[in-house]
Amino acid sequence: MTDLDLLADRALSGEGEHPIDRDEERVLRELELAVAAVALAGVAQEEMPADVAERVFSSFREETLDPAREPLPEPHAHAPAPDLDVPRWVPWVAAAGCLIVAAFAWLRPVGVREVRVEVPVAVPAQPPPERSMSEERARLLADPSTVTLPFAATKDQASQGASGDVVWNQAQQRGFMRIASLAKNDPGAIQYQLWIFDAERDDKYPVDGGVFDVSSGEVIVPIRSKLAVRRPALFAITVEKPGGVVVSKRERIVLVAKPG
Amino acid sequence: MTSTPPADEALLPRVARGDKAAVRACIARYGGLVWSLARRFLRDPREAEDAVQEVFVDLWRSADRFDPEVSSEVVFVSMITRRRLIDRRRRTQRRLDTEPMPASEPEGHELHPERSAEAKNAARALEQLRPEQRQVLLMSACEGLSHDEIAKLTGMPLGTVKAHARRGLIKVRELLQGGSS
Repeated sequence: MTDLDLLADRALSGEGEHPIDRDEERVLRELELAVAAVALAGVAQEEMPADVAERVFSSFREETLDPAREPLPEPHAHAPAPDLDVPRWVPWVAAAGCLIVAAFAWLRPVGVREVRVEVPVAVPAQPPPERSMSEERARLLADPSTVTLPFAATKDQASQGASGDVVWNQAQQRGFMRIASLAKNDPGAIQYQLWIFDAERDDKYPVDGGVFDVSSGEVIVPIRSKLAVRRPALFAITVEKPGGVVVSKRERIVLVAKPG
Repeated sequence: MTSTPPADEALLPRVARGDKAAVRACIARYGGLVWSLARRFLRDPREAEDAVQEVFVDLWRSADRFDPEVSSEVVFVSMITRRRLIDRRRRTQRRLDTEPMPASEPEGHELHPERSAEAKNAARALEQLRPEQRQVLLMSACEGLSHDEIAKLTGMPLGTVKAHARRGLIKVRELLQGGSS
């Protein structure tokens, strides 16, 4: 089997672990475009239903290209408390420092030990048709039982200067991540993946919170874990291959948020 | 009232600038392709609906990476669509890994060269493949079937399926680039 065969397999399956050089990348892209052209010629096209088209258009309005999108507030700001008082900063800042240390200890690369995730749950940017993501998030925040956890950046190059928060409602098992200044990713090369560590589960088996992309300076990403999270202990974002992984080697952790 | 942009006008650069009219036009122009591929890849209409939305979100985000020097816009859209659908199919199968996938029959694969110049070129290249290469390549490209699934559906040995898919694709790439061998 030649290298070209391997690249052809990769273009067809979308799977491939091994790093490739610039020339191979070019060939892979050409092969992918060839498959795409074959798909174009081989599929009988039917019209997309009008309601689906409308939802697609809504998704654009709610995506990061929308200039009306609200700016990301400071990561420790809690929406229901508009008059953010300075003293509340202090424990968060202190906690963020401790958090990074704790997270590194917890999330150190596990070597050959594998981490299984029971039910991978994708978190594509699929905004609900009726309300924007920020409106959904605001509604969740209006529930007094919702907690807000600031993200702390690790030393990974992708998260230099990054910030944001997790809002999580334990009863509803729903939440949102709001992230600013995390490096944009090429979805064909890498994707970000959220992991939720549950204090009542073995930390070797975090719950997969889904994969997502960052295409601009600020994004809001829904968390839709289909596995019940009994006692969230840590939210961690890793860098993974496109489509995410079942087993994370935890080689690149970019952001972490920990309940107090 | 909005006018329809000329068919050869690239829309993605305008989408990348946040032009909502271009977004509408993009959905009108490529919605059928994305929807049809999603229906082929995923079978379940609800999955397909979610996937279509996911594909277009990816497209909005990738719009500024479209390079007309590298490919035509419709082929770029088809490539992004396949990538997303493969991811989605993989995740769906992962969720169902303890359950058998629904039985499916191989689709018939008529070629549709009339749709665009790119489709015409690809159809011409496909016609130069051996029939079994063409069959395997179309099943993989248009339905996202794995080599293993194709082997089960066609009764071909797995190694043969792999060889047909690879050789077929490499040949198509060569032909699309104007190669002669």
